[in-house]
Amino acid sequence: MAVSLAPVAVAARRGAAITTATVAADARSAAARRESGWDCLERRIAALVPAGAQVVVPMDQKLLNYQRALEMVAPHARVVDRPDRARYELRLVRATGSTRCSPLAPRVRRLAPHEST
Amino acid sequence: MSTVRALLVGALAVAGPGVVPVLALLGRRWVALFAAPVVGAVVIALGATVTVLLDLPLVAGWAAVGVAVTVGSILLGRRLGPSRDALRFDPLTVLCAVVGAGAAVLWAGSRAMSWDVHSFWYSRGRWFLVGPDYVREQLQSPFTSPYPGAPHAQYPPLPSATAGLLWELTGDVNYFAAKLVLAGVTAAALVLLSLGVARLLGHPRWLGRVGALLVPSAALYFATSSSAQGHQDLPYAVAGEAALVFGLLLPRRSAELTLSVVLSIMCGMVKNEGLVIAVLVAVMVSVRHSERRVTRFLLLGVPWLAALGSWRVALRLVGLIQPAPATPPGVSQADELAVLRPLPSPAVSTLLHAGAVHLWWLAGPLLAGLVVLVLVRAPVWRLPRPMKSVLLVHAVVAVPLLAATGLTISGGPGLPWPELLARTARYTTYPRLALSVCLLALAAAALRTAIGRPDEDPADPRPTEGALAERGPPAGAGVGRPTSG
Repeated sequence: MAVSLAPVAVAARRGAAITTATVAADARSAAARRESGWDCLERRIAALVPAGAQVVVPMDQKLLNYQRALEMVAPHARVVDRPDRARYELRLVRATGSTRCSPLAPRVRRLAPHEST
Repeated sequence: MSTVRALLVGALAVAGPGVVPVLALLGRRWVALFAAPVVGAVVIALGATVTVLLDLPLVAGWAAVGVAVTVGSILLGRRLGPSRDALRFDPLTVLCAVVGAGAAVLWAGSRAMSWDVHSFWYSRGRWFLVGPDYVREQLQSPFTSPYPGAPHAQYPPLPSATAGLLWELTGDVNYFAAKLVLAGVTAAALVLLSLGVARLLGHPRWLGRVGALLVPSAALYFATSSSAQGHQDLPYAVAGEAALVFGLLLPRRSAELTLSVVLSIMCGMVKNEGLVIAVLVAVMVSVRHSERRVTRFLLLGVPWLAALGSWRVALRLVGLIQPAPATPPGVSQADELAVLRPLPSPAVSTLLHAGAVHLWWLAGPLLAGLVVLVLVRAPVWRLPRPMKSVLLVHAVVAVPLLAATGLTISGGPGLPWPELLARTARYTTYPRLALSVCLLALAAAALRTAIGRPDEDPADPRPTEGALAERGPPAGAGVGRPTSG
């Protein structure tokens, strides 16, 4: 019987270790207790893109989850699918400075008139 | 709105619509307390389906489904009558289940949230804030998944809709509150699984309590630490296993059937992987409860499968399911990951280590099970009937799921091997959870063999002769009879 119980007990101990590690990591980071990295990233994007502006997300970042996140981290803006309908281009790039907020940083470029007609 | 107030609103929104249905169908039992949030989450998911299908706001769809489920359960409860002996648990077993489940969701206190979780589940919740036409527009988005199969945007709606409803009711997008509410639904499913496992193990009772305490944390390990970041592998696997236990391995009664139906719909409405489990469980449970009568099978199975398939059917009816477009040129997913999330070098030692860490739980328990069978000197074909049922129904559900998962992976998102192996742990969450329940059942069978009660069947509510002898004569027995001595 102990042979059967042992793997379950080991798995439960490892599961408990996941919980403990998460709680301990959260306790260490004051920033994590205040807000998630996403709240922080959204605030940065909101500061760069005017409310209601039409924004395009470049298709060269083809991963769906990246695209979705890019759309939704700027909920006050309107994401369009073509540059000729947009005033701004929004990308997420690796943050070069402090990554306390997020390992990613928003990069917003105002499109020239010939790009957004 | 503060997180505490948002959490209160979320708890009411999730558990509220489930209260009347569980009281009508399960009665005032401990188990009803934990079934109510699961029923409420299913109501929200079906409400999201109505939103897409009928172009209604999420709140309207949720209210409509809530009223329909409440009225239907009251009518059904009156028809079935009260179930007096069903699903009673002693308080100590309930306490073990609650402590085990609570320990397994303590991570909910962390605000951390992975990229996938934010983009798949939480961001999608925001679509519902804008309106049903926006939901449809986004589901048709040309930004398709690089994975084969349905785009991620069309994943089942339960987690997203729960977050969306919370934010719509509170008027505030609060990720932390959404994470806490979803963790509450997961905890409720974990308690139900623990109680089901405790009942499955039967005698000796201490083993059932130990099982109830261990299973939630083991399930968390199988779903990996990504659960702490908000991934939804834990709830779908737990709900699927609980649906299997209540529907196929415990007594064939209306209360167990009710829980199996609700948990399987939750399983299918959380993730696509869960849909495979839920459909298999629904078909097998319908066959079991129909007693070989076609009319009964249809009356039970058709509405159940309709609820499970409603999201996919709704997407198809409004023309949102279309052939996947050809992969556009550009950098691959592997390139993206290499830039954003540097991985260890794919050296042979790295691959072996990752494989050994994550896959031992598929090989190790099987070996342990075989050792137990040798120790109790019972070849598989001579196992007691309950033990055969436990192994067989788990195999029927887990093997096709493993096969489907293998096919999906072999279709290939083009991930580097270390990444694939690291993800393998999450791909096998359900089979590993199923194996652990099988091992606990084997332990119980071995223990009963050792104490001379090998054939006790948890699916048979009739007490065995040994149990009757242990309890003594029933109340009233011997009244009016002459006593000797």
